[in-house]
Amino acid sequence: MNKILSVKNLTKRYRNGITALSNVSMEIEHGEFVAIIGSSGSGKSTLLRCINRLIQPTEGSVEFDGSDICKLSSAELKKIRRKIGMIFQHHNLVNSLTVIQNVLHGRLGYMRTIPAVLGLYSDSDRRKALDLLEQTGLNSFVTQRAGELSGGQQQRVGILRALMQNPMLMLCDEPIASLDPHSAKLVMGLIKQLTVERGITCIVNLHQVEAAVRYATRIIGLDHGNIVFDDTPDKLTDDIIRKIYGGNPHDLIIGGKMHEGTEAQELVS
Amino acid sequence: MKEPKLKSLCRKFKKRIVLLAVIVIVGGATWFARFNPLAIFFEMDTFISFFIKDFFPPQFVFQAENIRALFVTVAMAFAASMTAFLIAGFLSFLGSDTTSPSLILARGIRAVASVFRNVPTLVWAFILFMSFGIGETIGFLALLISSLGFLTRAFIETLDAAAPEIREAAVATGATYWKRVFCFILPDIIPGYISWLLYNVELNIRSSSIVGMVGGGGIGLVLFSYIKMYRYGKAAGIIIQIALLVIAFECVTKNIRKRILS
Repeated sequence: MNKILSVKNLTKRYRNGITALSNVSMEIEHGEFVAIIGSSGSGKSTLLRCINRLIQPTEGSVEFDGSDICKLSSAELKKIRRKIGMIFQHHNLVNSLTVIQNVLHGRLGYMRTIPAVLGLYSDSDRRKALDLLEQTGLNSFVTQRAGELSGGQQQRVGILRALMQNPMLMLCDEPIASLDPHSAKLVMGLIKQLTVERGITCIVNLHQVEAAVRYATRIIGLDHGNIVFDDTPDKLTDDIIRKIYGGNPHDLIIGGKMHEGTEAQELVS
Repeated sequence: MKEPKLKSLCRKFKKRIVLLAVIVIVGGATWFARFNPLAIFFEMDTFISFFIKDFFPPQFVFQAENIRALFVTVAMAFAASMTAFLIAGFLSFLGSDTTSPSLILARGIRAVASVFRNVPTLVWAFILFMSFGIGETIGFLALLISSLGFLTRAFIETLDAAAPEIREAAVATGATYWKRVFCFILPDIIPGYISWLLYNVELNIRSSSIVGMVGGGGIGLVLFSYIKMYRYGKAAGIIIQIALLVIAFECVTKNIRKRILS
């Protein structure tokens, strides 16, 4: 087994004085399916975004595929981001474009500027996108606008967009937080299946403990920007869950709503 | 328990002060400008007689010259809107903090656009006529300047409000600036831009006739010359034509907007 990602002493303080992450270290190996759990404002979202530097960490290092992401120039950073697919809670698709156009967006990082801007994707890219859409049961929506799809369908398009990047690592930020239980199951199953098939390492932020236990090979618990648990799912006891969620079992139930608000604030600041 | 009561009392007091202030301002303004707000009722008979005797029956003059003038008015409005659309579309990317390469440049563009927009089209027309003389080119330029200000501001606001989630997704794919702009941001905002453009065309059709009256050519100039020659029947005919034109355009743009936004 070899490391794909190693996060060392990562700290993020926002300008408003909030410390979202304090001295976080973790090492992820090839092929792991890691779930990060934690209550609202625990720093999950910040941690995930520090890995591909959507958020600039204050201190520490993130080593991915042999280079320290925090020290890369902007051109090098763009190159390495192609190797890191990302899935978002709100899908983040361009609603006015078709499903296939959104899926093909995953290829933009690899293309020259002029063909990319004109949307001249290669035949092999198109073929690949269509194959993926067929595999995931979206073949009847290919030319429909992304905005017309249901939440679960949109999230599947988001997954395919990330897969088109041929990523080594997938970052999933609350991929099922705004989906109904049925779609959530479908989407989590798809993420798991598609990443395992391709040997892609996956880090998923979740606030549903059951989903984490069910799909992950390893669970990391975050509390106020500190890692308080890092082990296999069978080691996650009720005591530890209570510790992660600040000793209030109610957070597990109404945590969903609370969570969205705080994480969004984190991003804004 | 006492505090909320105090607060609601304060609010009531505030409301009264605002009401009083409005009355004082309206009263003061009326006195200052020496106009009688009831004049329209007292002098209704003169107004009606002018309307009936002089304006009616409206005469429609179907001369080639008048029809050409109508076309000129529409053309000026269109040309100004489309030119402004292209320039403002470009400027908006330099003027929005989310896409601009320089924040100072962005602030500068917003300031200039505000000046362009907040000075009325008619004032621009006067300034231009005084410096360059009258003519259709000058009418077009006056419309262009105010449209440019209006559309640049509107586009920047659209761009600022465009989903930050989409920008985040674009960055995460490793796409460069131009790819992010053309493949993610533009498709997201274009429906909004077109909607503003249509509104601007409507505004310009109206302003175009007014700018014409003060020397910009087109149907406005024809209307003004009829009024100056006391040919009120013919003037009424032109007014009806302008009204029909504006209404027709509103119907068309409403339809297009519905199709784009759905």
